[in-house]
Amino acid sequence: MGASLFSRNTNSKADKRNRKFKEADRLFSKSSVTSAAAVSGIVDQYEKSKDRDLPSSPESQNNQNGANTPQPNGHSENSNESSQNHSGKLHKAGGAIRHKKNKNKNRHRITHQQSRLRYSTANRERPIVTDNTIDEEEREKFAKLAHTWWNESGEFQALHALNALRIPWIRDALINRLETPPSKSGKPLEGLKILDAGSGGGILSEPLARLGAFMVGVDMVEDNIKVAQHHLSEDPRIVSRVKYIQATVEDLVSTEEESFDAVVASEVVEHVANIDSFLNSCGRLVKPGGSMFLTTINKTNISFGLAVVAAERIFRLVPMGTHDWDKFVSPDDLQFILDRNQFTTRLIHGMWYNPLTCRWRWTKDTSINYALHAIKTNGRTQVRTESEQTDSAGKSDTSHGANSTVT
Amino acid sequence: MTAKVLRSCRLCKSALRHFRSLSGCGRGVHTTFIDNDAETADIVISGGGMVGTAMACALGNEPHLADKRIVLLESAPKKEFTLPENYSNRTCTVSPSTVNLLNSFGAWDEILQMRCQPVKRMQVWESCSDSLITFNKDDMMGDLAFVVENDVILEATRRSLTAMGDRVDVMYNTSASSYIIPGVTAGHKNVNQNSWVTISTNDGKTIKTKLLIGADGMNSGVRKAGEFHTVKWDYKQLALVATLHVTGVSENTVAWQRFLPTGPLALLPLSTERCCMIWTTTPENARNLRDLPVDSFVDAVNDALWHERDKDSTAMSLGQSFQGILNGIFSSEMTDRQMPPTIVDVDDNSRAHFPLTLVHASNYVLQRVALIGDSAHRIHPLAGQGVNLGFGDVSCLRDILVQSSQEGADPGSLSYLTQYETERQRAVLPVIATIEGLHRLYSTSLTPVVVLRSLGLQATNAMTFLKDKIVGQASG
Repeated sequence: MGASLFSRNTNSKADKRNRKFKEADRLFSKSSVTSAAAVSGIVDQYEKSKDRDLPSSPESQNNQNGANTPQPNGHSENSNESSQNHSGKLHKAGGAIRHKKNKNKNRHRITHQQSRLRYSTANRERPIVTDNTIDEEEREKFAKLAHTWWNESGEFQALHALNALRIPWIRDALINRLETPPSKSGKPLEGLKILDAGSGGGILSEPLARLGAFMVGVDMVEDNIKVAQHHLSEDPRIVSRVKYIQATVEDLVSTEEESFDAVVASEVVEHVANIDSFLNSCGRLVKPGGSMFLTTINKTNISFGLAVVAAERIFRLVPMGTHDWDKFVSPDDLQFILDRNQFTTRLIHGMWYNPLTCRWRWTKDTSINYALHAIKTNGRTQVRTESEQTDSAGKSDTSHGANSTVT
Repeated sequence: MTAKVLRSCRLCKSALRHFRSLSGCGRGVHTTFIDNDAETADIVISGGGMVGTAMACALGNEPHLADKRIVLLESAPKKEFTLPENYSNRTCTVSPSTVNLLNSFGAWDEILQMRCQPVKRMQVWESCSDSLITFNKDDMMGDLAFVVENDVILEATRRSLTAMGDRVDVMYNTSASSYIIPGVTAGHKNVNQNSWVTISTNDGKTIKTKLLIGADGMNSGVRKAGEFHTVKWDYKQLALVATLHVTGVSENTVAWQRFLPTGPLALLPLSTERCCMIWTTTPENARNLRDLPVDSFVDAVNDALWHERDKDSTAMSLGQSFQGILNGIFSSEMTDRQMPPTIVDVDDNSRAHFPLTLVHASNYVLQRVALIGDSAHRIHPLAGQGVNLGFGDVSCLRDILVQSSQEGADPGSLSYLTQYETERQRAVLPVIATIEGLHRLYSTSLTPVVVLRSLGLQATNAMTFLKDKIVGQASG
């Protein structure tokens, strides 16, 4: 979608989308494979033996989208997989959850049987939901998905917990930049316009909106946007101060250049395929004097050990391939790229997550997670040439990260 | 494809326009909520007792919560309060930290304008031996606590609430008839737990709220609706209360407590000539005492304060020699044992009794639900800490909600509420354990136990630093 428009970005965007989908896939790494789908499989068999006339849901697929074919492996690591394929997984997993509700959907019965047949040969863990479901079903599905995103003690616990660190950080940094201190009203960010790049389920956008900011959240993944929108609709007080758009930051540059007081890309940079293009676009969206807030994972042996080896390979907390260590970026490199985009780095600070207490805290040590605040210098950026240079040169962004080596 | 991108950009622009038209709009955008029939609120406090009303005051007084709509549900009608001449038989011993809380929203001044009595010294002793312990501030001038009638506290907090104008929406004559707590209530178990709590009131209204605070007492409806696991037991004791007339004291600023094998008897000063009695005893004894003629009742109370027939000779002699040793070590002058006042009369109709139970919810919070005061923990009154724990809940929850608001979080967010729970359980559980321990320790007249407890009490009394610590703990 729109990818053809920006041909120079095609690769990176498809890739990035894959990243995002993998991110989204993490949602279901535990729930769908081990619990939800497995349970639904059991329920399924049980229902089947109990009452053949009342098949519990898994909706058939409509075959109009070939990419929806079930994958034998829940999360294969083929980077050539199309994005639809990933979204197909999302649908499937959504269905897996719904499945448990044992809804009688007669209109799908025939196709349901077909899909069941296919399941027996492929992977019967993941029921499939069609795209052309009625609104009510859609709504319900996204309510479920939203629950996964917004369950504070669920899969995104660490991300929710990070709010206690990053929201005050962003808030105070922005307040310090204000000419007049805000009134003690509970809306200190009133009047500021902030872009949340990679907004996901809206975990960061909503709190900032509650503090008075006008938020624009962009995310590549349609489901994320819908989840965020669904959750937002439950809070009438901020609904008019948040706008979610399915787009890339590159998409926004043409219309929204220099219109944001701040751009926040939290836990996004490490998933971006072309970091130069991404940061360049983010930078162009910021007003002169505005701020850029980044949080990400450092490129060190420790972070490799924790994020890739421990989390993916040993403890299987996240699916294999969630994190691509080559995409991690060190603070120095990040600062270097920002410098080139007319940003002066104000602060780099380490963050430490304690998985036992589920709390984050600030630390001097930036070797794992770190946060960076940079301010745009007043001169206008000479953009396009620079971005094109970096685009071709930085095709493999390892060139910047070469100073820290993988073993 | 192209169109889609363009549309996104247009969306963005229109959002910007929207924002411009909106900037400057402050409170309350209650427009697009799904259910149009329901009222919405950010925080609903169910129960307008002392703790619930104080919660409403504390939240309403916070500038950081100025954009939150706060509702207080009070089942009683709004009525004018006039301070009666006779003291009420239901009182609280209010600790300095509670005074600070009440002071933060002006209710303490209201109390001072009505009436309260400072406690400068506490004396605790027992009937089985001569051991005793006293607590006071260094100079005998500082106040350890204040004895305030429940009605006075309630009225003072209500006045503060009224002074806040429409900051808190108080719904009198309104109580919740049912709650729907997403993820808990039957039929709503599968609903995503971020949905708001729905409250149906007795007058047919529906209120949706992000956070429901249960301040509805020991038989809390919120606790039941939230299916909180609750530990309960009955002490098989009744507390008999009465307003007594006393003589023989000049200032009447001492709180007295004497442990009898049947339960503690406490006298709390109300004024120079009045005391509030709380006598915990067996149910039969309590009923008998309540129905006694005035003269016999007065004699019974005096007897309970003075009699020596429970004295255990072993404990007495051991205690005396131990006291000698202690005096040698700590070079403390003999403890100035004060004699309790003499009871001369009791107010008509002031005698009443109520059962004693322990109620403790294993959790104080759920997503979008928090319990405060007696709905979370009701304890034995022997240390007079019950209401102070409730007010401690209020300060703690206020602080957590201010913090969550400053961090842009939803007030019903479980991560923040869990902090409240952890902090409060750390405060409440030791108090419960201590009170349970004291209760068990003093409900026997077995010689070895008597010896040990009286020696322990004497030792504690001799160690000033330990006592200061205890005073510090009790005043929170």
